[in-house]
Amino acid sequence: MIHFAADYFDGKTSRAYPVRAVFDGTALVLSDDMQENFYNARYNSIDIDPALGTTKRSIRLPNGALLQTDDRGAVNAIETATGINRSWNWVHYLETHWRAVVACVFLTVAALFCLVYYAIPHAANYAARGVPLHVTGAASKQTLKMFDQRFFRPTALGPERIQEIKTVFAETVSRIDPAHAGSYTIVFRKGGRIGANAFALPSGIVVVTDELVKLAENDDELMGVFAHEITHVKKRHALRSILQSTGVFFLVTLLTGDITSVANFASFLPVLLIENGYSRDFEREADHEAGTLLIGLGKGTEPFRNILHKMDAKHPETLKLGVFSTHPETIQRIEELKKLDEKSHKQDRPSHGHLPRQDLFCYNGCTLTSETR
Amino acid sequence: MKRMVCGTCNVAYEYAAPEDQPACCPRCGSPLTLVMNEFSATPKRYGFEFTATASEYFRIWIVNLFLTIISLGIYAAWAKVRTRRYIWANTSLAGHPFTFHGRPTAILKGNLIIAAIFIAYITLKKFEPVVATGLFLVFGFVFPFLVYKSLRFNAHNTSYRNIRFRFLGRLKDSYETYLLFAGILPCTLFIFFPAWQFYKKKYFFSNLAYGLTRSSFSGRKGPFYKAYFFTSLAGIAVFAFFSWAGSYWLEQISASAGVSAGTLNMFYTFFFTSFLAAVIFYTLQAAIYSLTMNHCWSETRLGGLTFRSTFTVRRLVYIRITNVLAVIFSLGLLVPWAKIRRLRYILENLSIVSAQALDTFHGSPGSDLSALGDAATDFIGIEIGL
Repeated sequence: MIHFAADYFDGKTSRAYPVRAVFDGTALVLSDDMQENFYNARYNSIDIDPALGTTKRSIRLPNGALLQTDDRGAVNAIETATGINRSWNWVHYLETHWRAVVACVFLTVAALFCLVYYAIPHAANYAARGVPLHVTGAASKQTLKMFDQRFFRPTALGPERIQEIKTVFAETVSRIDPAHAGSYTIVFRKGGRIGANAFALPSGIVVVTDELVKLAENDDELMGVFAHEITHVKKRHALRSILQSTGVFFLVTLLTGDITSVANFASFLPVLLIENGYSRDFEREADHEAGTLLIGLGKGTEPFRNILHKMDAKHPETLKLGVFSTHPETIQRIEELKKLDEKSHKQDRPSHGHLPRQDLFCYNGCTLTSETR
Repeated sequence: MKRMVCGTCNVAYEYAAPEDQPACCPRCGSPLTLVMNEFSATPKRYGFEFTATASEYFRIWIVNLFLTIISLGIYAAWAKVRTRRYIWANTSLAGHPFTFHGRPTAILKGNLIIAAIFIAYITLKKFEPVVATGLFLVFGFVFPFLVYKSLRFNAHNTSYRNIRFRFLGRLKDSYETYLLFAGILPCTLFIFFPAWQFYKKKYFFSNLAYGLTRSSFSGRKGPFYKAYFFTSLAGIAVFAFFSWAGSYWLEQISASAGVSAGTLNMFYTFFFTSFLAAVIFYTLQAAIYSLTMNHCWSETRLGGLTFRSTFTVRRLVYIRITNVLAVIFSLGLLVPWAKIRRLRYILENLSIVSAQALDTFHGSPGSDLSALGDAATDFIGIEIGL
């Protein structure tokens, strides 16, 4: 027998009737001062709202009435006796034990870390693989049109030079992505304000500026640049970056969904940092591929390092933005390429074969060096 | 107080004096039934009590967050129900709490549909911008429907003393407010903006019902225009002052340290300006909230019941700014504390004055509603209600 005092609300008026409730194992019996047993309900016809903090417990009766009580112990006893809400007990347990709460804090941080570093990039990579390049055709054309209107002028290179470069490009394509050689094209533009740079549009168009062509001392340097850009396309970096942004957006919405305005501003910075981190990882992957190709051809990473260095000298990165930048710092990129050289000397394995498992991270890939100058 | 109920419209009418009582319903003309005939001598004031604690809410919040993340968002619906239930159950009036009745499965359905729309939109935006714009326009036409559904869902799933609230606004008015007025807003160079905010509040406050008792709203646009005018004036002045002070300080630093002004300038414009703009924006939002909500509550009646709100601009602005700072510097761990703190201030400064006893309201038979609208408005982040 479980006895407790409660307020009875009949659902017809807002009057509260103080009642005495008795649970005898099979039925809940309600009595008040006027009448003994004025209502009773079998245990399988009542609903109990799961326990939540130290709030009043609510019992819903089959006649639409509501019973509310401060006697949480009595309601707990009814739940134990009848098995109502058994599947909810563990949530309440987590919420009421500080040790579980602390564990939840750490597990939440760990889960976020796993999502951001492993789950989202891997899922994006998996999803992007199935998407054919031409899906991005419309958007790529639009981007190129926008750049043509705002920055670019028609190229001033002679037709012979263009033909030579096209040969280098075709050679690079055949080494990096021979299976889809037909989907890559190279276009030439005078860079103007953009200066020496190269872009890869997700549909396979690689844009090279005249300034970059002039900056290159030999075709190996250009090959390094092309390999970098073709890798952005081959590895679907643009698409992966979009999918990853969608993932991050979704994650932030989950985290802040509860609180509306306070969190918006506070969540802007983490999103920026995560997305730029993805971007730098894509750059590293493209650099790695370009370096590996050049090493495989027996040229070492030096030509690619040279052109990166020259581009950096021409447009010095005025700010060391670090975590706020979409590209790793040029010095760092050159260092990593050097390391790649050393590794290949040690192994003495002059083949451009498979990458070590490095395809975890990413960039929304267009430019060869950072645009933030 | 005399209360007559129209059985056809399912609405109650209250009359303060016994003689000005009509024989039939002013809307549909069917005869009215007398359900109460009781006149209270003096109006009584009841304050809202808020008993939630940051410590307890933190524990509920973190468990919700954890389960939501590891379930990849599925649990969000259950988390929302638990959060709402906790907040509602800790808000009480005259010793009795409010109760939230929303079902997680209804919210889950809404969440899934909204998530699908948003993911489609974000992905399409990059590949097929024209299609994405089309989708956005379609969403603009669906949005008023979602607001309408959301208001109905929230009201219907809130009860006090086992009498459910209802939202009786019409779908037509939602389209007028959220599509027509929102659409012509840019044509008026946003001068119409305060009036638009007023219409949104009016749609909410004039269409609420507690059981059979319907609310009435006599708010005016004037206070909205006044609030927006003075706060934006103050905002512009503060922004101008800090920009001037900031550039003066910048010059001093770059002159003394020999750093090129260009380098610092980028940091300055990027961080300082956006931070300052955000702080000012939140300040203005809090100021406007207190001014307009004070007006709205004081002009709302629910049967023999009126509301008093005593929000002050200074206090709400202070709470808002310290909350934002606390959330940022605690890396989000103080979000529950900030939320409870703000709600406590709002509820403790809200009270009702009732000429009728609180246990004399009548309930109305209700129906089930989908949670789709609820999720949509939450996802977009518009705040409706308190």
